[in-house]
Amino acid sequence: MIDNPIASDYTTIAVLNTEEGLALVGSSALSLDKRVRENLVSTEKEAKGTKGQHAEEKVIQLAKEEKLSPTEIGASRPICLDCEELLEENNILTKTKFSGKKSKKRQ
Amino acid sequence: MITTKQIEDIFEKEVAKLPLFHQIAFAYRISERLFPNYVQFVENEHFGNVETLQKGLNLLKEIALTETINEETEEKIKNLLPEIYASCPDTEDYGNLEATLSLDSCGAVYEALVGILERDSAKISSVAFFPFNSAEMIIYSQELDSFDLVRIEKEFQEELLALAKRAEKAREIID
Repeated sequence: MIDNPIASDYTTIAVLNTEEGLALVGSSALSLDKRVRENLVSTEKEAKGTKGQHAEEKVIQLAKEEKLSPTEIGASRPICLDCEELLEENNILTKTKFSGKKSKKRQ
Repeated sequence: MITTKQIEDIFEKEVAKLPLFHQIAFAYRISERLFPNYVQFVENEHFGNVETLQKGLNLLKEIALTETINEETEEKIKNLLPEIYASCPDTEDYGNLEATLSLDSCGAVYEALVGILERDSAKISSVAFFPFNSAEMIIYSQELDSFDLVRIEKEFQEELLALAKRAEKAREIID
């Protein structure tokens, strides 16, 4: 969907599946790209989060706020160390690779 | 709110029908309007390179004005693309509005230059999308009820497209 390398290489999109069947979708950018937002279906919801949060943090926060039970998360780029720890704390599975590093601004 | 499909139908498909250098002039005018967002980001965050993106804009303008693409031009584009790529903010480091808008600024110039290299009208004309994405980000961040920004952008692009359709030379779209 995003074929511009600048959009895809500098923005992370995370999708968190829940037991309730709702998938939460978040972006590391201020909000989802227009093209992604417009393609959300009824079983998907944007996690808006707050400024500076990573995509993974936004979707996990929304799951907590809406009392949903996360099962698995997928991200479009390797998951940073902070988000890896967040997944472990919340017992959320993933097939996405971990970067093993903190993002630059959090070092 | 205008949908991506409407942007494609109203602008991108129409721009793609124009002569190549008219398309490039259109892309230049769109990218030029987004450029201040990148400048603002670099000034605030001290990350990025204004000169690099300016070079990209200058190159688009030069190609449109001279209506020439030769080996030298293509070499310039090939050298500039990695520089533009490296000058973009990562939204995991900068998750604010300015970063998101500056990605649209960089994305527009990058897409137009790649489109020129590949002689791909769809890529050049897709530059029309970026300002609408930026406008929606601003509306979202400020929780505005009004969609004036989108209307203003739509009117600007409609006028620009009309100008491009009646222009004999690409220069007329820029001057």
